[in-house]
Amino acid sequence: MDTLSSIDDLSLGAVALTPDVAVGSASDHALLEAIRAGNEDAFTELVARYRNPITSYIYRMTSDYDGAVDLAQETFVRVYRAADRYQTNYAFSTYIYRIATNLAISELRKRKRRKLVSLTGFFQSSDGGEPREFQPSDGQPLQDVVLIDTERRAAVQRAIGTLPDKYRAPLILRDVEGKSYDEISHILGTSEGTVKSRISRARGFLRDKMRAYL
Amino acid sequence: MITNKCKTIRQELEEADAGHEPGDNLAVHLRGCSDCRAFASEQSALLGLIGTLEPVVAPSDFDFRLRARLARERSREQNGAGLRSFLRISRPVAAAALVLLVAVVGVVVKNRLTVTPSHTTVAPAATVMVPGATLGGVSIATTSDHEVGNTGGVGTTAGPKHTVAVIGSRDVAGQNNRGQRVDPALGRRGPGTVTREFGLTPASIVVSETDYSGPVVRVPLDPRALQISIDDGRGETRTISLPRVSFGSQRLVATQSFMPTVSTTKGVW
Ligand SMILES: [Zn+2]
Repeated sequence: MDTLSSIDDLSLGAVALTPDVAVGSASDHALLEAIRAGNEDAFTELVARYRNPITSYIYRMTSDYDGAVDLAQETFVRVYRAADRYQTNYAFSTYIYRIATNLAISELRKRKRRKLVSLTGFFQSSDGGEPREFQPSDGQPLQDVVLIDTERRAAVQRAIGTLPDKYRAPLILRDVEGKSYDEISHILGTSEGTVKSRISRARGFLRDKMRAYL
Repeated sequence: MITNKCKTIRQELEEADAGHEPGDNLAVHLRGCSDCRAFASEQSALLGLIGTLEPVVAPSDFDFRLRARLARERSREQNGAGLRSFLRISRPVAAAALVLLVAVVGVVVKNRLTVTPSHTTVAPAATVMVPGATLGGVSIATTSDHEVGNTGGVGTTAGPKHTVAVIGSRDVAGQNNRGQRVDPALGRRGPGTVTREFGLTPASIVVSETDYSGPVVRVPLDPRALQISIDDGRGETRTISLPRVSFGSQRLVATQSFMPTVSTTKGVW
């Protein structure tokens, strides 16, 4: 006999998790409900669903892989700890991206306070000298041999890394993660109009920086 | 030249997904506007470039590290809970100890203040007096219900032959006279009344040097209680009654004047 373990099961059509039901087929909300009940498998499933997107998103924000992994783990720790207080007003995806965004922006601000140049690794010269500001080419057509994919992607990442925080997050969420404007506005806690405006300005900034590659 | 139409078209382009095919309006404008065509081209190239960014994958030990982290968090929380529970217990205990300490200190201070009242005046009903006696240069109040022949107040001796000499006065750290104070409010109570704080300086031990050889008649004690008014220094006066205690010092002298003398602990008789 099916039983409803919470109102979420009813309103969101989630599958109530029982030991007999595979967590793989459960909705995010149902997994959260199961985590509240102490189902460790449900948490494992939730991590499996989001560990790559969240790690990738934070990496795009911070340009630091190890730091991104650490912040992604912190994101899941917070999800786990706040499982009891989780509200199902929005999609779980919105919720977890919001946590990740806050952590990433917090990290970027910490870096600023420490007067560290973002993307130190990228801008540091090979001889370990001082970090250098990202400078696109002088506008001359680049040789195809030079424009191998890896370098071009690195250039894009560098350019994104120079965006101010408030433009960086919406641009990544939209153009890298493929989120809708509506979801981005919920993740960032701002209006859709503001999101569109910021994305437009971020792209204009990137166009200027990446003109040599366009 | 960028017109309002151009702005609208560019906004459409901005909001369009990468690889989005332009609508009819958009296509018509782009055909006729080289600026917007260039913008659309750059926009498409930029989104294509961003699209080349490959998703980053979490490390293979991500779950393991996350489990370890959660275990550490739990352990820390438990330790924190232990500390919190300890603090929950110890705080009331500490508060109770503090209250107890304050109370003890308060009682001690209060006792000291009570032992050393600011002003002690002997009310007119007081009977154990030495008329005109001078102790350490200060006269003791000498009014009495039993005043017989005492007409001069302080400094007026009841009997011309009666003198009182100080034979012993323990000076406390040389502060013999510091406890003596003339209360400015005493004018209300009686002219020339001087008080002495015996709490600060011990009372002098006096003996009568009167060379009196007349008859001595013992009289019964006055059944009335000794009443003492105490000024607490804040304008409040309290009167306390002490039961009469006889040390055998009272006597009647030949002049029929009641001539009590201050007795010593050793006794004069
Ligand atoms: Zn135009």
